[in-house]
Amino acid sequence: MKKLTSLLCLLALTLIVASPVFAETATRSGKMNREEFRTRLFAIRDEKKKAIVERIDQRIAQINANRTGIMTRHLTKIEEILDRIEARALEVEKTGKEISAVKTAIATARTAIATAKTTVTTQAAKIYTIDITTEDKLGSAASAARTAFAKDLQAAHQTVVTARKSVRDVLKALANVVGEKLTNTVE
Amino acid sequence: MKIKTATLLAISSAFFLSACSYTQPAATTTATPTAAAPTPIVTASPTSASTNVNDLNAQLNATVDDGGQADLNQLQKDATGL
Repeated sequence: MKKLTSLLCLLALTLIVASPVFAETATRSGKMNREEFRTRLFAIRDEKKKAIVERIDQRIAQINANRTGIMTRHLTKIEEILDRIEARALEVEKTGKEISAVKTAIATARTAIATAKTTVTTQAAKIYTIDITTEDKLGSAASAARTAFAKDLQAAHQTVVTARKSVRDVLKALANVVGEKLTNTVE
Repeated sequence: MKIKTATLLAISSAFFLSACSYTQPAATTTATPTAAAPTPIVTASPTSASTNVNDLNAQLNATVDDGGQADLNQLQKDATGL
């Protein structure tokens, strides 16, 4: 009985220790994990190149955190605006006006916002690792990581743009119903 | 010799004990006159709760940005030298 208890304790301890490793493995997008990256980074003999690679690695993580943070704040704001548009539309409906086009546009906008939120959350969890092999391939490895990151970040940003545009479409539909004209639209 | 040692020990013990029992005089603090707290200025943001279509449009405009393009361009510049 004692042996079984000890075995279970050992198993639980192993799982606790190993779980962060599994989490990192699940989120990393490069071929290497972070430990391998650190090991290979320190093995680079050219100190200048080593510093550049380290800086790019850190900047990718910083930019990803900053930009996804901004996107999240913008999505929250966009959703608040949509809520207010919907409230206004419902008030207008009470006066007997037809708002079915507005309601359809609201449903589309809600879907676009939900898609954008999911994409941004996924993007925020991504980790980019520069695939260090040999010193002469550092440039192409850094470029590959940067390109992959830029592509993903722009894709996430595009979902926010789509969400905003869909809310703008709701606004246009409402403006049409109430007979007001939208001015100074930026996109 | 023993007496000398005992005396020295007694003196050093006395110094030690007096040092331990020394209490720092209470710091005299002079209350610096604080400026009267400024009256909070409540700035009502006319557009924050507005349901006017152009106010809402202006707020949507405020969420437009470059999507991090400037940061990405800088990142590319940082990679020169590899």
